[in-house]
Amino acid sequence: MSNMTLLGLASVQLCDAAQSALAKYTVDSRGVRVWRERKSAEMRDLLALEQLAPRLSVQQVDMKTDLRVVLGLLMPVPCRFGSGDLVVCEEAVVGINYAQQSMLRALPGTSFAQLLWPLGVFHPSVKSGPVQAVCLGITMPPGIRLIEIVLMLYRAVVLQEHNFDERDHAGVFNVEAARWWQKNTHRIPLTTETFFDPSRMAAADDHA
Amino acid sequence: MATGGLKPDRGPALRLPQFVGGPGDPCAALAEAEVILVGLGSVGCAAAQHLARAGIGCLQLVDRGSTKQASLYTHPITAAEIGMPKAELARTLVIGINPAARVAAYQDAFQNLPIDELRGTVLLLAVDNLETELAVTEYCISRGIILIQASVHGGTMIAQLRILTGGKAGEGPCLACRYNQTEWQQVASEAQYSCDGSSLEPSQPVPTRSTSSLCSLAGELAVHKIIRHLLGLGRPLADELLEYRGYTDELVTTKLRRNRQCPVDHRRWHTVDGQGAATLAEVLRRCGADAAATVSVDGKKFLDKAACSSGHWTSVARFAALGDAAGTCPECQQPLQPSPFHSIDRVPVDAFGTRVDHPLTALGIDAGGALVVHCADGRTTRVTTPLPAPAVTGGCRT
Repeated sequence: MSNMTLLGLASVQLCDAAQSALAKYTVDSRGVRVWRERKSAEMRDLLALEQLAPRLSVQQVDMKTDLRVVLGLLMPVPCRFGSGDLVVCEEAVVGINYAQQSMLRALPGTSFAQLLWPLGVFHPSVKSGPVQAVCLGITMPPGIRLIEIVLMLYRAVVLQEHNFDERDHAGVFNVEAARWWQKNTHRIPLTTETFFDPSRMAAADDHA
Repeated sequence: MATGGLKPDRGPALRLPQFVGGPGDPCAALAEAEVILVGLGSVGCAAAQHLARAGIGCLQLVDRGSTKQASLYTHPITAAEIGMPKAELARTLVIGINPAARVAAYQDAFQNLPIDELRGTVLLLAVDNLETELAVTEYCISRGIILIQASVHGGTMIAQLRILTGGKAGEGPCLACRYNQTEWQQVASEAQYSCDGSSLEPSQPVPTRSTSSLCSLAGELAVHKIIRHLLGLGRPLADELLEYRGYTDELVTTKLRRNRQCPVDHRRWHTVDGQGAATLAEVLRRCGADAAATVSVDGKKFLDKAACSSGHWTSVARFAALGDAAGTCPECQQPLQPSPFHSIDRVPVDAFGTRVDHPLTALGIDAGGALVVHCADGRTTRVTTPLPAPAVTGGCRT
């Protein structure tokens, strides 16, 4: 029986291209040993997730100090341009900044992820304007894993998990969007698809 | 017994003994000592009293809270002092006992303090908040300050001290070395933020449930250790856990060891005087750092890029604190918004290019700000402009 949790990623065998990519990314990784090892482990898991999830592509990686990645994600993203109708784009480019202090500190949910493209995202947890930071919750626990951030981001953007309540003590990032979505709950979620098909992990386990 | 060199009219000298194997003038030694006390609750307030009575010359007292009705049953206070800020209360207590003491009181969380204003060779920690524990343990281990944590478990009548000396070359354990999943989850639950990244009001801490005598005992044991250390009496301090078990009257000592997987950086920082350094290049030269080094500034992030509301992206390339303006757009003069993805804690030196020769202020690095240089060979150097020692304060800083 395969381990269907994210812990099972450790048993996924990276393909040759992914292993070469990992080696290339870690060459210039700086910092104390524990942090360098952590960055390598997080990157390895991300590359394993990329192998399992066709909707994910790792486009850019910078491991010099913080671990910064640019990801392509095939997922529905709600947008609105001006006062027009809602438009659902089918893909996004996401930037995630995974800092060393995330190993130790409980950080704000806005610390990690940003939608770089498309612009005009209309979502209660995404800041409006050109800097589209994503709020993933009140607090992100210390030691949260990069792949957990990716999965939380997916579930948040496609509205499988959501917070519309502007009276919530943490607030919402886009009040106008929160109010709009409160009146349009029939459109939620944008997709019921999971981030990846768990049977692919089972298949990977069988190959390992 | 003879008082040796003690002057009988000098405060604590009236009662301090001539310690066997101790210095000729323990009063003078204690009067020169600088101790930081974080947490002024049931344990910390008792400790503050004893540190004052021992004649500790410089005390820095830190606590963001105020006393409550329940404090009456564990703190050395009266009903008239309910509702007072704990830092102010402790300051008044200390000055009342030892008017000659230099006391700085901070009514704020340790994490919010101007860290470079603090000075001490020993820090006594008496809080029940893991986030503060983490901040304090990082502070102490990086600066080679001895950390003594005092706590109680009332239900089992245990008073506990953790003594952390930092070890040689940063090999000693820290408080986080013992954390398991439960503690890390608690760290997460203690920190809450709103969407703009600002901290939400922390939930009310659960008051210590213990007898006042046990709380006092923990504080007194800690002060006893501090006095022994300052006067060089008996066995030197070691990395250990000391427990008084009230049910069995046992005193148990356990060695503490470093956890190699602990995420806290255990390296001791060097310090370099940054006074007069005008450029980053000069700072790097003083630190002996090369192009493979990285730099960070306490409380600030390096803004690589920012955008205005019109969608224009601009290179910012300097350090800024949360909430600070990122500048204005050169195209439309609208304010620039920092971008989380383009804001990083540490910057490789080679990313500055020729800007290493620009004035530090142009890079967002203020004189006296805490610039930290992380060298490729593992050295971490804190660049400071020395600040004057705190004088006797007429009030409490908030």
